[in-house]
Amino acid sequence: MNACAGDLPGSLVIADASLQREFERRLSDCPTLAYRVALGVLRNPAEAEDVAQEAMLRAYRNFHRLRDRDRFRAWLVRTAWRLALDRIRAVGRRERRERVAGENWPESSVEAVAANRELAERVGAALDRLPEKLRIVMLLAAVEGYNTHEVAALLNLAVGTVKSRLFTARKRLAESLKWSASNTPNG
Amino acid sequence: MVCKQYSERLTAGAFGGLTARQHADLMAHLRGCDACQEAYERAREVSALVDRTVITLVEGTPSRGFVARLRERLAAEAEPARPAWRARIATAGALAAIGVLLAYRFVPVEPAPAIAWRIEAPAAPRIESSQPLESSKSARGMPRRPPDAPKERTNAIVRVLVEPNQVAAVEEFARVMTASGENASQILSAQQRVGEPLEIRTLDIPPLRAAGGDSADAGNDSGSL
Repeated sequence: MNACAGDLPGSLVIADASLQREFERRLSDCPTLAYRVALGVLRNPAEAEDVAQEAMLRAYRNFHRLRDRDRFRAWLVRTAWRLALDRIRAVGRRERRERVAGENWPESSVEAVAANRELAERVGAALDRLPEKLRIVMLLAAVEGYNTHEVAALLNLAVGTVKSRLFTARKRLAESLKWSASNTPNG
Repeated sequence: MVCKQYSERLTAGAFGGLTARQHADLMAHLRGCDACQEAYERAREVSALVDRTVITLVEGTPSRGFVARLRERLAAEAEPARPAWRARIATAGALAAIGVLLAYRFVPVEPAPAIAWRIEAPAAPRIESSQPLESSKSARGMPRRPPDAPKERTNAIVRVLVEPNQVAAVEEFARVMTASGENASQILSAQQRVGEPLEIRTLDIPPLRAAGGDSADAGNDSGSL
């Protein structure tokens, strides 16, 4: 996760030294979180990087206003999420899906790649159709492997609410695969 | 075939939608029902497939240069902001400069006149002489104005005193100027025709020493050219 930490050169120019150190610590891992949230919405690495950069810049500008520093990650997630949604609204979804289809799939056999791509496209399309409140919990659970408690903390929601939303989101995504309990041999 | 009362719970259980108590109850049922157990396992596989697929959609890390680029932008952000009034002044200055450039570029400018100066009709020089200008002697015999008397000069008429030997040249000059003389080239041609350079002075200039030892007084506004 902290793949970028080794790149850190020099130090930031920030008026308050303690704030600078604090932001430095976040700079070592939070960009990946912002990037993955954006990637979950945009499914385009270059655009996700742009959004993550912008989210970090906004975080930097407003860092001194954040009273509860422990909420920084949640704050960053929401910022990246909003920025990514704004961007995807600016560009047609269909165009985006056509452009990025299969970009993130590891290479294996032709059949496997084709199957993976088709699966990803179906799930991705279903993900795009989810209401935002369902989509964000689904993405966060996937982004960092967060459990329901962590997602609830990030989004400032009750654990039960997150659990319920995760269930609904998974069910709808499964339906996009034409699956239902009645499809089982015994169903 | 799955049991009817558990068909909904199978999906909910596999997709994480049951409470702990409901989940425990389902597990107890599955231990005694192979059909429901098999359906539950399939539902779990689908749920896991959905999760894995979503994970693949968000997998990855930013490129290696990501943080370096971010640092550059952050450093630019951290540069001290100029006070608002300085920013306003800078903006106003820039706008003014742009305005001047645009005016220079687009506002039509009247072409420069063909001549650098213009003689209005009332200001056309009038050759003044108490005698006919042809009389060279009469110029010196002009009546003198008393020192305390107001000057006669007006803005409408320029009085010119000339040396007798230049009267003809000045007359020619005056004729040209009166007729159509607002063109410098015509003045030049007039000069060339008379063959002598012209020098015209108003009555305000100090009088020159008159020929024949007759010096002009300081208060005398007449003079000779």
